[in-house]
Amino acid sequence: MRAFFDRTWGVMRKELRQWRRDRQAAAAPMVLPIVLMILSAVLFGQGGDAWPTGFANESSGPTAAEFSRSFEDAQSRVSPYFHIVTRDPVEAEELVDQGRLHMAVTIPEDFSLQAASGEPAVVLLETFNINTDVTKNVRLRVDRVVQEYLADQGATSVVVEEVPTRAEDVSRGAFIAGGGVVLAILLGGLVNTALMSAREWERRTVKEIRLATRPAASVTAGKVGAGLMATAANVAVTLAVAAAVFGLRPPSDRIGTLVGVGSLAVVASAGLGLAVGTWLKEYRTVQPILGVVVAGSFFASGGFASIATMPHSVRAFNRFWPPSYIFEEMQWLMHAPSASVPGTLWVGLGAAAVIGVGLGVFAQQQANQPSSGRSL
Amino acid sequence: MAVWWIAVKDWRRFIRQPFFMAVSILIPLAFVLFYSLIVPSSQTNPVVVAVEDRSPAASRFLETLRKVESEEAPWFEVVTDDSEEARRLFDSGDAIGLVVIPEGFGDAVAQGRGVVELHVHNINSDYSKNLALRVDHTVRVFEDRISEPVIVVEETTRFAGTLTMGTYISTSILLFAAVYAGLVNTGLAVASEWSDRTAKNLLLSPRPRAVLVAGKVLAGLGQSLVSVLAVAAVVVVVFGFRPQGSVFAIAGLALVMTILGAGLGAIIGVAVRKTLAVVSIGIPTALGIYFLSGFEDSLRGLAWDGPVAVLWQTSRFLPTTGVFSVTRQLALGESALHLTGELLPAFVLIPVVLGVAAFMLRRAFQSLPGGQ
Repeated sequence: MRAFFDRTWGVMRKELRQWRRDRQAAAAPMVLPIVLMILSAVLFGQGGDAWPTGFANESSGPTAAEFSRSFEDAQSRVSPYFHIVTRDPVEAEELVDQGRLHMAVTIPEDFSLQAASGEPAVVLLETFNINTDVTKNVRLRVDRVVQEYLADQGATSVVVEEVPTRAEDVSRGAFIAGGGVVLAILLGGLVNTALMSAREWERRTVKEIRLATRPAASVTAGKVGAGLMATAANVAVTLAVAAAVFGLRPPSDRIGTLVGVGSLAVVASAGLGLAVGTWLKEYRTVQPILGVVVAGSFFASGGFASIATMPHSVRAFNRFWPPSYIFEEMQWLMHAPSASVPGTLWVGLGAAAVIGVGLGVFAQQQANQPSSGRSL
Repeated sequence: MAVWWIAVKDWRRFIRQPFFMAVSILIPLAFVLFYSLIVPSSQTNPVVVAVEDRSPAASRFLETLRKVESEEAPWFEVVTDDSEEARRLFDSGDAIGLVVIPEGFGDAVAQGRGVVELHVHNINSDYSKNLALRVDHTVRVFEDRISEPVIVVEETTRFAGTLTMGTYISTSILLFAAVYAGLVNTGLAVASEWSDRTAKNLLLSPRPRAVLVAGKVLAGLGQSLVSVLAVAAVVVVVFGFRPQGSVFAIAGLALVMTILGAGLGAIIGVAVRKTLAVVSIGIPTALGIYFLSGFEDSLRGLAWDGPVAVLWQTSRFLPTTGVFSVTRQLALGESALHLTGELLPAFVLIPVVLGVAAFMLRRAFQSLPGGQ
């Protein structure tokens, strides 16, 4: 037994040394989650809730003044809905025409008069309608102001009462950062171990490994162990960026559960990575394929947005896509007001870890057959 | 003729090695697939509804909720309107938003005191905000159906029609595929000569170096044609991409981006001489161009402060941004004649990049290290 541990420790030390030296391979599983996190948060968050706007009130009556106040005070639970850039209607029109503003709102001169006479009062909206997503955000915000104004005036028969389950909203950036950390766990486990396996073929050292006495168990355990340690380093860096830049703050009483779920997930992905690296044998094949699959899962399976908010076809797909359970459960643990991991998930994760490592062992044994010695 | 045969040799290698096919075709297609998942999620929000009132007003509100829609899709997908099921799904976290039409809703509406509850797991502020805005809009539409509107919004749009997100994304994805394919295919064609240790054989042929350079660029462009056509077919089928302007002009701009990508690929290939490094540098480079140049016109209106302003300023300096912008105007059916100035930086950059690539290739082909 002692000999097994010595051999395993030897393999781990060798793998970690090579991992440290191969900067490109070491950095890739860490860079991708961080870059995706930053790009997604900035591009898709699009500067937050406060939409740059031109706003002008050309009417002097009290109704216009009240509507104007509603417009300027409108805000979500996170921030104001509008950031008024100019109050000059001519400048606002020019900015909209150039696309420097997506919207300009004008309360025309006869607004108060129309309202007083019982006619529908007209608000003018100019939009740079470059796409439906941007235009939707503009129109819905203006609708919101109108609705809030009417509710304040008692002129509506229905009001909406919002009941959030958390005291404070989790920002989109923090949610995406949580997804980035899970991405680092899965990608690190897969890619680090896959590269540790493929490296034996890339550097033509596989013969030395196989010529060792009883190498299979120690090599498998050593590579998986080294993959876990390398992944821990990747995750620590990603977590630090997520906390420092995006304010990710998982509740302290759930850290243990998160570590448990993450550990089982990383063991499963490391085992699978060992198998993939052994089967594909080339860095250049392993890295892009695994990168695309896991980054795709980030977007489609709960890293970027909750699965429950996605279209029907995507929700159906995710029932059969194992990474979605890890993304969803860890995101829920990090952000939900209350959370506990169901027993079935622990069983599923345990089974995934056993299957993943089993596949890795199977691939290693298969590679040890004499027929597969092309690179020896 | 030698140019042609160098290209044919690379095309054969492209077909024979699954890695080349996977990296060249599958990665851009996978990218399109991810977008096909994200785009609908910004259009339609799944929501569960607990209808606890049996009045006609409650039915009308539910019907309004189902029917409100944007130019391209309904605002909501009502997953269930069964009260018990809706609450169960919300409590378990399988639904993020729950709309409750409470008991007595009909009577309350008649008295002008109707309340609709919006319960939300506010674990992502963007979704919570979207849901709240959409439910407000629904209430407004519901109110307008039962009484005369008090305030009317009159909208003037900059463009005659609004691009659907599918078409908007399609133009960017098409150009991403073009620059990615040119970059990665040419980069791999060049780097493979070193990875596969065939560079010496190539140099021993009695042909001028310029022929080798031209052959590599032709090989990269030929392979790119396959990738770009595959992506074009997918955006037409998946996103319903139907440009209103000249298809030939759009194809021409895609070719411009492919040539630019091929030049960049040749530079990267000869600089790093390793296929993995070409892929590792090529993918982020193409993605960077896509994210920075492909969204400039929607970022422009938001870029007044913070990181988004930095991102927009960066995108303005990229010569590729003008190509994306003009392509999108063409897709909108706008005349592109007045926009040709925006293409100038890209047209200037192409000969520069190709010149640098040719210089580097010629220099690399002059002498090889002993290992080759």
